[in-house]
Amino acid sequence: MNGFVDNKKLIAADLVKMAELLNDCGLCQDVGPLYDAQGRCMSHSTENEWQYHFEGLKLPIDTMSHTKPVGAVPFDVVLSVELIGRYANPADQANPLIDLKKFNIEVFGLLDIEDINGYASWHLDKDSAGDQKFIHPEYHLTFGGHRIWDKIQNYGQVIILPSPRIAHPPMDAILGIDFILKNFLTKDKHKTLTQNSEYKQIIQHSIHRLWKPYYSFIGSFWAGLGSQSFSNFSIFSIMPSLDTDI
Amino acid sequence: MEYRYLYIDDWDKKDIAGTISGIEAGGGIKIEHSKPAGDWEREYDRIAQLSFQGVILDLRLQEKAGLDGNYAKYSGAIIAHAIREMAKEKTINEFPLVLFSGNYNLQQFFDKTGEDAFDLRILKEELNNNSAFETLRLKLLALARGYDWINHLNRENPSRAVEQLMGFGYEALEERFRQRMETYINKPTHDIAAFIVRNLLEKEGLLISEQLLAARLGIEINASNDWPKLKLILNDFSYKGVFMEGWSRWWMYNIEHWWDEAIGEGLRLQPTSASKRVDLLKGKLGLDGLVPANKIEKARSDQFWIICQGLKRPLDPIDGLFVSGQENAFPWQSKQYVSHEAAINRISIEDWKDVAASEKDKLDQLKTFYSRERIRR
Amino acid sequence: MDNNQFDENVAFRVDAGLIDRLGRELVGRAETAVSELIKNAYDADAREVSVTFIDSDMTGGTLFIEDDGCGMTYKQLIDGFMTISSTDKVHNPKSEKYKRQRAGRKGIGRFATQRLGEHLTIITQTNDSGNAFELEIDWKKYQIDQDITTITNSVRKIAKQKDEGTLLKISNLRDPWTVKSIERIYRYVSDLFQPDYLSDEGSILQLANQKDNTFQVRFYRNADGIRTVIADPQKMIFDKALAVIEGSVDSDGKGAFSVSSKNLSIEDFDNPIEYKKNEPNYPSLKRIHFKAYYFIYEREEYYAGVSKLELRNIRTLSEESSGIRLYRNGFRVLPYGEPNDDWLGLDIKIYSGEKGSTNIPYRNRNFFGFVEVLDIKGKFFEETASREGLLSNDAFRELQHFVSESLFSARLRLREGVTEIRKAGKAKESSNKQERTTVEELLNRIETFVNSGTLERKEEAQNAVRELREEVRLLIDELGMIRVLAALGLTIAEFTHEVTQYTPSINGYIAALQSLQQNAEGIGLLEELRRGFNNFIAYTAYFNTTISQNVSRELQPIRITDIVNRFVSAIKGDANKMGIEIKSEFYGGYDLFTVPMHPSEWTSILYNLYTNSKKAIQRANSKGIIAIIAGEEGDKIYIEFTDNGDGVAEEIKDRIFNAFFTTSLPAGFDAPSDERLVGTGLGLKIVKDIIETYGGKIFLIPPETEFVTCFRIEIPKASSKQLMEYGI
Repeated sequence: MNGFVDNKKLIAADLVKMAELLNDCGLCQDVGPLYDAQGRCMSHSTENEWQYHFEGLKLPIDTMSHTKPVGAVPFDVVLSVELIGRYANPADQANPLIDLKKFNIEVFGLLDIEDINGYASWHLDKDSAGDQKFIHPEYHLTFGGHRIWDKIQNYGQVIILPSPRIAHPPMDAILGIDFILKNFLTKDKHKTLTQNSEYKQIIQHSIHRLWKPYYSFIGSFWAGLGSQSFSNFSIFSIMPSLDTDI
Repeated sequence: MEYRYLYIDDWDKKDIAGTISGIEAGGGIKIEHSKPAGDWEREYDRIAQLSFQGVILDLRLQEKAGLDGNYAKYSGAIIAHAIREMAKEKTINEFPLVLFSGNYNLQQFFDKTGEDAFDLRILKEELNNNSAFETLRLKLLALARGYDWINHLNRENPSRAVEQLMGFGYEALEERFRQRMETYINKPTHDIAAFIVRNLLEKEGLLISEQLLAARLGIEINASNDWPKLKLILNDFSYKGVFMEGWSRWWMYNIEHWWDEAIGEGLRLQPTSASKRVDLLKGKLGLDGLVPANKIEKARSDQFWIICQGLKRPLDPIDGLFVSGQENAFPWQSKQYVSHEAAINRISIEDWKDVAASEKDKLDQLKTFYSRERIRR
Repeated sequence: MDNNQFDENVAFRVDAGLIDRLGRELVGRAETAVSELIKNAYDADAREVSVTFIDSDMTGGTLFIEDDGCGMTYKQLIDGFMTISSTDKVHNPKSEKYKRQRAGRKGIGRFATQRLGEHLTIITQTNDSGNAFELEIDWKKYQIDQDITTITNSVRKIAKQKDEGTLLKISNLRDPWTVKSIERIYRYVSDLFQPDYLSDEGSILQLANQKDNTFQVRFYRNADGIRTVIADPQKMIFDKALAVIEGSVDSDGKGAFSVSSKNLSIEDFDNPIEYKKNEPNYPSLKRIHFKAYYFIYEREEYYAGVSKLELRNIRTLSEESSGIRLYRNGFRVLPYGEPNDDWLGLDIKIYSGEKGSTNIPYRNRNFFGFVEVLDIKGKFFEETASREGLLSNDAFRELQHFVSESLFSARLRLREGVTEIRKAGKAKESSNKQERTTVEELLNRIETFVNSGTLERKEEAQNAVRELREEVRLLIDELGMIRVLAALGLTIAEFTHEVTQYTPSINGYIAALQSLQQNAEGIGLLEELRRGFNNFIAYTAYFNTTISQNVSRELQPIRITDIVNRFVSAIKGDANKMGIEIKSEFYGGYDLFTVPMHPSEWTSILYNLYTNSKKAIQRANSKGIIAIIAGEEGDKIYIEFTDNGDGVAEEIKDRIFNAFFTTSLPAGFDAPSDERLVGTGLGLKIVKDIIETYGGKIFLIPPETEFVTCFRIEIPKASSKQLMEYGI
């Protein structure tokens, strides 16, 4: 990343690379959405911001013990992302995303009960601090997806609440795919891909673009800003729990 | 103008005249029948002097005697191959080749060998109504005209050539496709034609068919009176490149763009339910006669994006199983799925053959999940 | 202590903090602590122990362990309980009353109480004494930098609570105990004792046995004043096992195993296991027994009387409680048989990937079992200091060898049994074919006569010959007709092929006409013509495919769904023309394969039944419905062909399958030829013959509501072996 000016071509290239890697290792049959994202990235991004969106990238999921209800079988985990971001800029560790319109992780599967499908979802959200009733880290992960009531009719004994909103660094498609692979596949299944050096490089790019500003900014709460610029960030928006001075 | 096709078939003219009449009925195509020469040498010489805009070949030429009284020992495939060779050597012009065959199994043989000199392969038994004949006529027309166009194409600047062929802005074309197309520009016409027909027109992807268009807009064609009107509105986005007369297609890129700008109100097309899609379309376009498509049995989502290969109805990929044999698909091609219902009941299995190996486990799970108890009434 | 003090006689002092260390570090797990205390109760000849957790969902709860053992006298309390690492157990290896083999050799059970909670109260009384003793220990007092001897605990005499026995009250529990965690120890503790005698030696040595001289442990949980009993599901699974594998090594080191399964029809006893080629007997390993209950999950069809749900529950249980456990002198040795333990190498060995062995999954999770080691003198096996595992000496390694070898040898036997079960319906010799039996019988009689030559036999033989002749005559008649039909069949093949060649041309003319036609009536007529022609074509195309299938004479397992689907789509046109609705339904699984048959024979069967139904519907003049319902039952595939025609009269029900039986009136000389052909009376006979050749049956059954006639065909299912042969 060093020495390069961040631009939409790099981002689009990473998407395509990820698509190829996923396809080659056999973990994803239909990488079409990533190609769609690449196309949109190239055509909709401007010189000040990059953006893309895609729907329904299907990734495999392993069965795991302690799944409830017993007998439930997950089929696929599906990622849908829509976001607008700022280019990485060494002079300014700005808040990496301008808008995170959608970041949904959905699990589709079968239950042991006839005629009832199984479903679970998480989403990553970016909310402005504003005056929220419940604590709202700017980037947070929540169980339950957008319009989950469209997907689930029968909640069993589970209550799904919009809280807690768990602070989580921002993710793009690349980091989202990594998140899914490592959470929903055994190490054996994904290690060929995730140990691949090209794969690691793509992850690096996204970490640099999204996590470096985020974590550096949080660190600055204790270390001080120094000469670094962190625009579009507000510490109590990112980490409301740090606001101990009531 | 009229395009002239030569139709080589060992049967007598009187026995196949009906077929010719059927095709010619719409006009624009004139078909002349000839029996095979009989002797290969004579056949070869005859080919070298052809002055037609296209040739239709029956696969089996050995059942009845040829022109010279001998039974041809060669098939339509051999003739086709010879024609292509001669075209490569520039001995003759390039023109489309169409295969007529009455046997499904032989067709499958061609699928496997990949050695295919034909632009179009028609099963005789599929010509069983006048729309089938009309469709064929249009394709023959499109091929003849298209070949002509490609033959006269200026190939010096590949990107310009691609743009002309596609009738579409170069920048807007998908990058991988663009690059691949450019590599074909300096190949023989029939290679370019084959690439375009097989990978762009016959496969859903950058271009989509009417059926897929309706599915992605969430619409049930048969129940929607205003579907023709909607198609008219979308006419600007239809495919106007080479062979357009034979294949009604639309640029998916444009359709999506149009949706984002004019219809969606901030909602992206794919994640929107079919009923919502139709509501928005009705509202924005003032078309009342649009009816949303229904989910296939056992499907849970109506965010239709593809067509089930078994039931030929709209489907959300999340409700489908990946069909086998797509390893060599190009990245811009839309992948094929079969709905759970069609997969477990093997509906139209000849059309999709099998699910991908990685999906077999899921198929077994589904079979167990949906296995039914008999209750005697 | 003053630096200037000088003593000539010094004794070891013990830092009180050691108590904490001994408690927390030696007794690693809380569950182990509880089981140690239960062992103490066992050693005290208790018959019943009740363990009650009170308000223990979070830390700080209370645990009561009460037993009816012999209790402790004051002296025993001081010399036993209050003396660390007492040798009492070494002096008295057997319990006093029931002569039980002592557990808890290391004698630090008391520190288990310290591990469990901050405060301990013991109330104990013996039979003889007039009062009870109450001892209170506050473990918090035992801090570091304190001489242990300076810390005292109060002892009081109190009134006797019962005849004899000890009550431990441990309060301020350090761990939370949920229902789940209590269930877990219950499982641990219940199989601290062998569920059953494995060997006579076991009983002679009076190892624990639930039957008499009982030792019963009950777990209770008190929450908000409500007491609940925790049940143990494990006992309920052993009886349901698919197979039981047992084995033993005798005092000479000779090892043998047996495997039995009622469901798989296996009773295989006394198979020897050799240690080494030239050394069959085990040098160090003597007198051990094992017993393992084997389960295959997801295959309830292998079991008798075990439902899918029960099997699934057992599988859930296996996640925590399966494996082969090890008992030494009647007590459990951890961690053998724990969920992540593989001391017999079962989980590793499966990766050697023998073909076909996946029918016999053989992981720790498929077993609930135990190995009993009788090692009274502690000669061969020695527990490690932390009580978790045995030292890996020769005896232990030989033990591993014996048990795993026995299990793997048993597996071969199991594989046979399972393969047998999976063979559904071996096609029996068509002993159903009555003619053949009759002919066989007759020939046998004649042969008997020829061989014996006696007079009585002669008359029998003559009758037989007469009957035979009659039989042959009938067969020849039938054969004649069949030959006629067969020749016709061949002609039809040619015919259908030619027809498909002409089709495009005719369709082309129709299409051309349609494009020329402006007149509405003309358009309508042409559309009728087109549709009619295409129905005709659909019919012939169907037969065309069938005939081309005849090119190969091979049999193959038939997938019923495909056959029926194809048939229905082919004749739909014809049926609709007659106003008949035709539908199909499938039940059971989605892979309904019959034994290998000839695909074209199904065409005949279905088409024959269809024509019969059509005629019946025409006669009944009803709005016809035909349903084809297929599914599986047991080891058969069934197909029911049902219609709402005029039905089959009661009196002819058993004759309809006879040769030449027909209800069709003889066709008049000017009747269309198809009518003449169809009423040959051989249709159903041929259908029956075909079906019976493959070991199947066809018969009438009462129809479902809205239908009148129902033919039911049963064909044996393809066995998994057959499916594999044909690459399915």
